Amino acid sequence: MSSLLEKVVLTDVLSQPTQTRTEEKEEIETNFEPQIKQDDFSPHLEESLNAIEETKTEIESEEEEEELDFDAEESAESAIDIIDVIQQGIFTPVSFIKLQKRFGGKDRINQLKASFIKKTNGEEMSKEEEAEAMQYEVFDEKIKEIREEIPFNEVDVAALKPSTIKYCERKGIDVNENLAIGAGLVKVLSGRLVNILMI
Amino acid sequence: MTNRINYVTTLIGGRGKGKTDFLKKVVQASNLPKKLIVDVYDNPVWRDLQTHDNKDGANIKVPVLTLDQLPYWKSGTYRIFGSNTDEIKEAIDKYLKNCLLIWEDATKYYGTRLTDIEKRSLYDTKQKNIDAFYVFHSFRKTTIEVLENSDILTLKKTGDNRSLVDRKFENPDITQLFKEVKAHKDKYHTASIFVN
Repeated sequence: MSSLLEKVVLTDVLSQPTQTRTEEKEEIETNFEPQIKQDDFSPHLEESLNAIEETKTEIESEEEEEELDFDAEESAESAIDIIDVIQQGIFTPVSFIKLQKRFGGKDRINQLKASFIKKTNGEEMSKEEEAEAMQYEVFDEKIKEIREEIPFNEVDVAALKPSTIKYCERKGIDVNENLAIGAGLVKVLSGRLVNILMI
Repeated sequence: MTNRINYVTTLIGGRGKGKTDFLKKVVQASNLPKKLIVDVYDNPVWRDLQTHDNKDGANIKVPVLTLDQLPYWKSGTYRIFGSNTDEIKEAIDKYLKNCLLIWEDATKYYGTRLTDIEKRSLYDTKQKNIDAFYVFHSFRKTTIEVLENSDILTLKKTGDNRSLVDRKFENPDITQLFKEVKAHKDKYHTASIFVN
């Protein structure tokens, strides 16, 4: 494939020399003996490092196994699903009620809907009924917009996911399979519930 | 010969697309005296420098460095891991210089917004002679501020949609590179461009 992009051979670029920076000797408390606080990475220090490394690897492997006993990414995805369900469950009916009020309340909407049904059936209508049918179409369109706007979209999920994964990892939050299935089920059911609430 | 400046590279590639092998080649090519791989767990693939086409790399071990050892470390290839990545980031910010630094699987510990320490790490690389790599699995999971402040984007195949790449980064070169890599017949294909 021909390309206008100027490609970089990274291994070539990074093999070129850079400006070395001075490293200060840090006098901090460590577990090392003072004699190995030196500029060069001496064999003595290397031995110490390797010895510590083996022990450390064993200990941390156990810790990590325990910590990574679950998939933080899956947990985060399920957690985001649950949050989405909750926020949809809250915002959709609230927005519906606000919109309903703006159009004159539930009774008025029922009246508009009746005119709209009349129009759909091709019945003879007064000018007032025609206006009501049009108003109902506007109301219906607004409802559709709200329904599309409220659920998390791909970008919302992408923005939430890294921090949620991090949180699940740090706090050891495992949204297990049962809960994940539950979340999926709640998501489907809540969609229906919201529909029912809005009838 | 004039010394080059230090570079920050964002590497994006899906699972199993050869990111680690690529990074191991970079580790071996780098002129810097220290090479450090940061991860959240003891990833077995980073215990040595073996790659698909360099089996001898198995003889080059990558030992673990502890945070206590970090201030005294002067050369060699090491890795550091732990679940407390904030602590690791702090220590790296405080002590690390003259190093090729790889933030392996950065998706796991780099959120949407960078913390002050993460910003310092990103912006101070030239002053500290650090070549940094931030490794992400997809564009979707890439921290925008990291890519926006990278000198180089290295791309392998990902599972992203083009519309997301367009929308999230709004850079025609990135979109073009994404298209080229996606269309390439080699599943391990890698391409790098300067983005800044």
